Amino acid sequence: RIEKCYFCSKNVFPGHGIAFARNDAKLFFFCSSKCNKLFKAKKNPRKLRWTKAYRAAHGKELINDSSLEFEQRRNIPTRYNRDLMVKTIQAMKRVEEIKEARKMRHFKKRMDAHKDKKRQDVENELMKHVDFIEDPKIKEYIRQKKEQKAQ
Amino acid sequence: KHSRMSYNFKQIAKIPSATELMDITLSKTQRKTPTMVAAGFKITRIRKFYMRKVKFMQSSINERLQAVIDSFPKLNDIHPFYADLMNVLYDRDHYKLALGHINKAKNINDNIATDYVRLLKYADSLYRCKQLKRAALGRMCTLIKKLKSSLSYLEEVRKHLGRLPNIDPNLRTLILTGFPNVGKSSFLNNISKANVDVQPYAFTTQSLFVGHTDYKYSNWQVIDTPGLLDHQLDQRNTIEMQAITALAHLNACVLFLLDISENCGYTIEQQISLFNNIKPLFQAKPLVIVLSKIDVCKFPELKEDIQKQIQTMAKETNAYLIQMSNISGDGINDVKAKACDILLDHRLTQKAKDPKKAESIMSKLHVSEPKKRDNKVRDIAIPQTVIQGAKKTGPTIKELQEEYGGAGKFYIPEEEHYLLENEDWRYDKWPEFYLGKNVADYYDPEIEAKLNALEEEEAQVLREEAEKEEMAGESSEDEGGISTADLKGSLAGVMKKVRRKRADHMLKSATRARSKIKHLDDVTEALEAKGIDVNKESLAQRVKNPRRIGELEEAQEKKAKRELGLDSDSDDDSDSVMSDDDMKKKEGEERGRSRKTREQKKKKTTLLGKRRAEHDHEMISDDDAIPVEVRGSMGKTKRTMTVSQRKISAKKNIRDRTASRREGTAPQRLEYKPVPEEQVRLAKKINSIWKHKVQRSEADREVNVKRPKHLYSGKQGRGKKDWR
Repeated sequence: RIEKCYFCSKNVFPGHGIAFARNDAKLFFFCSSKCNKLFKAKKNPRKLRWTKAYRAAHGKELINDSSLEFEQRRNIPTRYNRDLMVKTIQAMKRVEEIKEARKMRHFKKRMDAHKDKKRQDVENELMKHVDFIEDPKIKEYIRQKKEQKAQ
Repeated sequence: KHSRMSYNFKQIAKIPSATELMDITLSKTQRKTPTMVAAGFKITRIRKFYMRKVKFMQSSINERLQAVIDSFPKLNDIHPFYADLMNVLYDRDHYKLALGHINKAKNINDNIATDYVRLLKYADSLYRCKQLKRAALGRMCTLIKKLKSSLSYLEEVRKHLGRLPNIDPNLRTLILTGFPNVGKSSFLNNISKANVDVQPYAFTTQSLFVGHTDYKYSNWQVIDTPGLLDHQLDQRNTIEMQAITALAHLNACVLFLLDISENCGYTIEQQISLFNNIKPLFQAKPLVIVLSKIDVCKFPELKEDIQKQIQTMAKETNAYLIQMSNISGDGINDVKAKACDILLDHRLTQKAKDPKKAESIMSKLHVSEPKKRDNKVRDIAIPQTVIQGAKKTGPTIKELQEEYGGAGKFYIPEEEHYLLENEDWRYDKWPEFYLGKNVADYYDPEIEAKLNALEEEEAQVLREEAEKEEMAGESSEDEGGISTADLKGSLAGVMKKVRRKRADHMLKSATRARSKIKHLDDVTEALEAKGIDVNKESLAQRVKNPRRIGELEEAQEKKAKRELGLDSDSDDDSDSVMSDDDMKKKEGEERGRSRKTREQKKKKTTLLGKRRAEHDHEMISDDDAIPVEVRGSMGKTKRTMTVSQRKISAKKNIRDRTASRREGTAPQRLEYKPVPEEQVRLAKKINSIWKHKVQRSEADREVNVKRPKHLYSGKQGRGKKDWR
């Protein structure tokens, strides 16, 4: 089983990382000693920028999406059925594709929120060095912008 | 309440005999009271002395006697069984009398003491006191002597009491009764760890013996009694009386042993009559009639009427008939089990009848029934294979394992047991991971439906996006027809240029510094153009030419010399005072080197310099300006000399210098005047420009590349860029 690191949510492949069983029988998997030590130091992964927990908590990752519901830990085993297995594996691929597309959409949406400001920043930068612009069309455009701003 | 008494009998202290007691008390009095008294003491003191002796004797005797009385159990306070037993053994009256005698002795002792103390009060001499004391103690001693018989009797009682069997009247008990030689002691030996004497003669067992057994995880007492003979109660001797006592007082199960074989020497009829005789003793007790010695004679072998008699005997008393043999061991366990069971029942019924006890027990009990959590019927589930009684054939998995290489090498085929819809699937291998995910996490019977729903959603979203695209038309990104990407691209180019420019600017700062130097003509023109009056002379004064520090110092020297009256302007040989450098110059000239003026040198190099040179000549007025000594670029003429020539000149210089110094003809060093700070700073600034021009090597401890690409770009798997 590929587990998820409790702290940073990376994949923990078999033969890697550390598993910790707590007294209340809850299992914690860690991808590395880094995560393990941070956990032991009682650090909250939601507060550490580089973890997926932080990203999810701060809206930087895709959450609550139907494409994410395909992957879940199933406690009741389903009887083996070859056809179903084939379908599952095929579905996995398709689900991943859709998931990636949705992630990209989410990202784009997030980034587009600051589209205007970013454009403005670039224009401001260019305004500082108008004379250096090579492309005449852009040069003219920036010049105009500068005049507008001066007004 | 009563049960505790049984354990104290062994703890009774030894009772001293009369003589012993006398000796003890007398010696104690002698030791523990003051010993010295003389006639010369005050009479009160003497009296006190002897009174003390008397009183002490009294108290010690009383103490002892009291101890004796206390240590013996009161017949009224102990369990009636023990009371009766003691009566049987030691005669209640005699016992009570003995203890009473001792009690009385105590009182008499007190009286003696008080009498003689009273007399001592009025004794007028030591002698008198002493006599009184002697009399008192003497009387006390005779008193003790009279206790002799009682004390010895009590000692005997104590000894016997200590050896009595430890019978707990409240514990579950079985009592064995019957004629002598019937098999009671051997039965006890069989059941318990006891090792009672078993002999062919009657009255082998002469007192009660206790054995302990277990039954149903609890302790049981089995009491072996001396055999009873068939006669009246008042005719019974002490030994039999013990048995009777036990039967009478102990709430136990009675096992009446009947010797069928008549080997005890008594016929069955006699035994039956004995039974009837002592029947009243075990009215309320559970009874078992044990037919013993069946190895010799079996019950069916008996005559019919005897059999009937026995049976009626049992019926009348609601007793159980069990057969057993001590020697062979048949039926012993049956007897024990039966007896114990009926006693337990009896005890339980007794307890149940007692309302208080019953209540106390019932209040502690609670029967809980599990609540049904749903209406599901949970039947008994027995697998078919079990019902059919199927048996496995062939080698077991373990055997197979051993055959094929042992644990670890042999793969135990678990697929055989899978319950599958299709047999073809039995030995399928399916992947555990796919695309970095666990396949088991996705394996779901509804996955097809879910996937379809997802596809529809996605299709819907894509459709919406396409519509938006169409509607949007010109993307808002392109304002003015220029996309942000284009702008970014141009910005990149722009910044590249800008950076280049900045770098060049830095590098050219030296030349710029110089190019910043403006000529007086230009300055005056610019100022006049602006309409400011220019005082050319004052400006001329402020003209500063870049000079070396050495030059400046020398210029000062020259000035000083002039003031001193030493003219250094002229180049004649007749100058006595000359600076070292002047000397060198002279040498150089003598060797035929031309002294190029600075201006001359500059003429060759730059146009700018040329101009300056011309200007310099024009600017400087002789009176005010500091004469600038004309020399080579570094102030030295080293470039014109070869290495060997330089060496020679240096040596010569040294020789001349020292010689001239010795002779006193060397030019005196002038006072050093520090160079003004401004000029020093300027000179340093100019010098620092050279730094940029000097080529760098590994020895120069500076980082050439401030931002190496491999640290400032790209993703990092693990670790920070400053150390990966």
